[in-house]
Amino acid sequence: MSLVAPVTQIPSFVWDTSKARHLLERAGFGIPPSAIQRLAAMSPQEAVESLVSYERYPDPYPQLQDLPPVDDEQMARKKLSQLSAEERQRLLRERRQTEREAMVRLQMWWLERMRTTPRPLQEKMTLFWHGHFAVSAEKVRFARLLYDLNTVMRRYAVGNFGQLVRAVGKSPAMLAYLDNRTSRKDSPNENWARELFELFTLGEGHYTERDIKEAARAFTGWTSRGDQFVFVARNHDDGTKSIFGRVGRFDGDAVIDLVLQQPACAEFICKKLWTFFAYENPEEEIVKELSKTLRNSNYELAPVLRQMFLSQAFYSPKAVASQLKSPAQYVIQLTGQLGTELPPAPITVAAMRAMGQELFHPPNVKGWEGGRSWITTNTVFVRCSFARYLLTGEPPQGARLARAERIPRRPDEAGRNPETSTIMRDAGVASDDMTMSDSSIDAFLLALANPGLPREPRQSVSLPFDINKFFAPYENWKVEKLVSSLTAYFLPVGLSDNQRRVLLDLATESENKSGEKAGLVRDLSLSKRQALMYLLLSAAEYQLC
Amino acid sequence: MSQRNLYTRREFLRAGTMVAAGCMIPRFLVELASATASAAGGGSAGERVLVVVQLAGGNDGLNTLIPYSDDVYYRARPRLAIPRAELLILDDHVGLHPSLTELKKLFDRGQVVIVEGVGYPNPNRSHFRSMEIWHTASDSKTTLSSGWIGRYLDACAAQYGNDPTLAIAMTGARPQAFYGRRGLGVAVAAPGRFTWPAGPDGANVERFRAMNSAAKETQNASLDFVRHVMADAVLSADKIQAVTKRYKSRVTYPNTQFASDLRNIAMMIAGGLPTKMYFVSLSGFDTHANQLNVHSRLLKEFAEGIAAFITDLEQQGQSERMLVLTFSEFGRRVAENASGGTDHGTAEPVFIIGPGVRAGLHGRRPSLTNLDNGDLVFTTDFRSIYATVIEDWLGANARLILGHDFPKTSLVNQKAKTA
Repeated sequence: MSLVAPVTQIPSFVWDTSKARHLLERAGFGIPPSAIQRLAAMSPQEAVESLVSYERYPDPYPQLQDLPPVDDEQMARKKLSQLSAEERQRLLRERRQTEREAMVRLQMWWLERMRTTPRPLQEKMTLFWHGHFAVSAEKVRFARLLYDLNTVMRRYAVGNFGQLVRAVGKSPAMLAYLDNRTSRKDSPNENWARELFELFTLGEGHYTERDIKEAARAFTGWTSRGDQFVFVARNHDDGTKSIFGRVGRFDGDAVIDLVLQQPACAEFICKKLWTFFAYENPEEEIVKELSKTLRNSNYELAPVLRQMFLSQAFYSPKAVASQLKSPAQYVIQLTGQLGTELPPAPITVAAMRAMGQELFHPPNVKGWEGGRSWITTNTVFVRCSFARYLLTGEPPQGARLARAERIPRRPDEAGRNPETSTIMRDAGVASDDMTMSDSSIDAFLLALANPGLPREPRQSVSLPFDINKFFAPYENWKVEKLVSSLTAYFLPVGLSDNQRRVLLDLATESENKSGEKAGLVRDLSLSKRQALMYLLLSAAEYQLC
Repeated sequence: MSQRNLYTRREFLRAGTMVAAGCMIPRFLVELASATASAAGGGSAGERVLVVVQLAGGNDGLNTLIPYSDDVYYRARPRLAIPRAELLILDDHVGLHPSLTELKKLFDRGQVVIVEGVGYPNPNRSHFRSMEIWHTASDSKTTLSSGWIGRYLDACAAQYGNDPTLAIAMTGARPQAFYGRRGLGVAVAAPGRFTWPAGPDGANVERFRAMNSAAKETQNASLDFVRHVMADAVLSADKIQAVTKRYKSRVTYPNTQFASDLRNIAMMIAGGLPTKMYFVSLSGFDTHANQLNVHSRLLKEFAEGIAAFITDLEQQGQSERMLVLTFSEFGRRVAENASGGTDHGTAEPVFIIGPGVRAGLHGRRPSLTNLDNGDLVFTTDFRSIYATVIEDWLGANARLILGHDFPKTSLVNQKAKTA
């Protein structure tokens, strides 16, 4: 039986809550937890359909409003040249500040959307494309352009890959990120052409250096003005080019057509999709079958996703609970499972950065490496700190000592907070290629120590998570039963007897009011509950999905 | 006779066996060897440290070490060429970029080697592939998963033991150069705060360890992986916390991330960690557009960071133990592009810095006219430099680690050279 054979044809296949959980965690973010039961009650096809064919559910999430407009560069330059040096400085400074704040709003807007969407796969696929067609705010500093590109990715999330490539290539964000904006026929810039082949469509080994040089000529003239794509004919090289052995007066759109005709393209995308959703290094057969589907559907993505989510390999032991949660998955799923809000923007953004995945800040044009690279000696500590903060509200030890001179003042009595954006400014140190800097962790610790809000002074800074409310239904349970139940709720795999004993020892070492060993949940103090939850969420198992 | 001498005698007795010096010591002697290594001072191979500096993105070598005597350079770069008058002249042909003042001072003090024209055959112009080639020390047709530092640690594990802190990267994740069979080497982005955050009411690190014991393998490789990382993290954290408290420095480092990373490395070197290899990355060198200012700032950040680091180690009496090796995944195209930048190229100059070097310009200067597709043709294989550092500085067997023999260059001075 083929690895991608639909599970509906496998007599021994049982659709149950663990399979439904797997599907929800991969095709979405594993939340809301109650959805697992609802998916398990459907047939596998219905469950997959409810994720893939999301167009039928209205999308109530509001668009992001009031992002600063992107001026036409020439106009802006002219305007600036009329100002005095001092005014110009001030204007530019204000502009940078506005963009930084907009960038934070943009990140929070998307995270919130991931948490609350009725279309989890749309957001998961948008996240996939976000890492695939990586564009970083470190270079493209206009939130508006990044938002527009994000919107393009969401529009085509499970749509047509060819249309998506074209729309991305013409997006002002990508034109700026890979320098095609300034590419002209007298000396073309190869950056976009190279990454289009190497990272976006074909992969290494399926093109020559000459193909890149020729394709770069074809894309000359693709540029942008403000937030609009423009084609400037006088900068375009309309001569004859030779690409993939074909000769013609190709322009940019023609190159994308040629790329889509390469057999390597569908395979490249399908392999990456499988790696993202199921497991790394998929069997050749899987890639072959999926790319056949992609080509036959003329690069429509939904059929491939259906096939993938219904294939037996997707539910094999190799796939289930074998992935390391990305930081986005970790933060969204953890807050979703706890039923708590996202922490204030400074904390959430700084935490994501310290975990190695700040949205709109991929480390380089290859996007996030993913897989095992998520879990490092640094990030395990950061993840634990974040969980501890949610459970206890406690900033990490030493946070105050870390660059104390940078700690901003607390909001004044009127709730105004003139200093707080400093947090974000400090946190705004460039995150760079292949590294995550010391300052990102500092910034996270700082943000935890000072959860004051820059944007919304009225929002209260209370304990992030009400643990007693969370435990309320279980007060009369035995501690053993609670531990089993929490384990099943949070972890995708069970615990060993030893691990259970560690948790039980921790829970029951305290005494209840009559001096007996704690046996019931109601005997557990607040700090004991926090400790128990913290240790459980610090388990290696919680990093899996 | 001290235990240290006992170890070197054993090593000596085994010297005929074509293995890395000290890499085949029986286990029972290992503990002695590594236990004494950190206690003994001085500059013998056992205490040697290599600091690998990655200039990520592809450093424009031609605007770093500038061939000012060659008109071709000025013709190829009408907007980007640095005028001769601004250069820090090294000889009749080349000078350093004006932002490298601090590096020039070190050069004048006999602490800098510059190897020109470093690269490899059939160069790859992809950041990721070329970076992988430099990290794994493979040729451009072979894909290796293990890194050259990882293989060095594997080869020397018998000598130094399975200590995860044998290599430390000041980065978010372990660089590929660290990958090896034993999985040694850790990423420590912020040593001062590198610790498991203990929880309230009994959620202590002992219980964290017990919950995540990596002693037994499970059916789930990802789970085992996370547990190993957690174990390494907790183990390293203990050691690093212990040394960070001892460090005091009178040197003021520049206020940059790169300098702060180097300061942390100085702290760990001075604190006596058994670490053999440190890895630090400075990025932003992918200058396709408007290169002049960005590149100038980066070179300044690089040179000033290195200078402060060397001064600090000198004051700590530790500089003799240390050698810095820089690399970038490639240099850049000879001709500038339309965006005031340069595209991906090939050969580049490599810097080796420290009191142990035979200072000066090394390697054959690449031609600006005999180009391959508009790119420089390399004259020194980067693995020759690795081989030299591995044998002459670290006293290990390069062939074992690199898989082939590469001609060594004489960049380590006679005094510092391992026997």
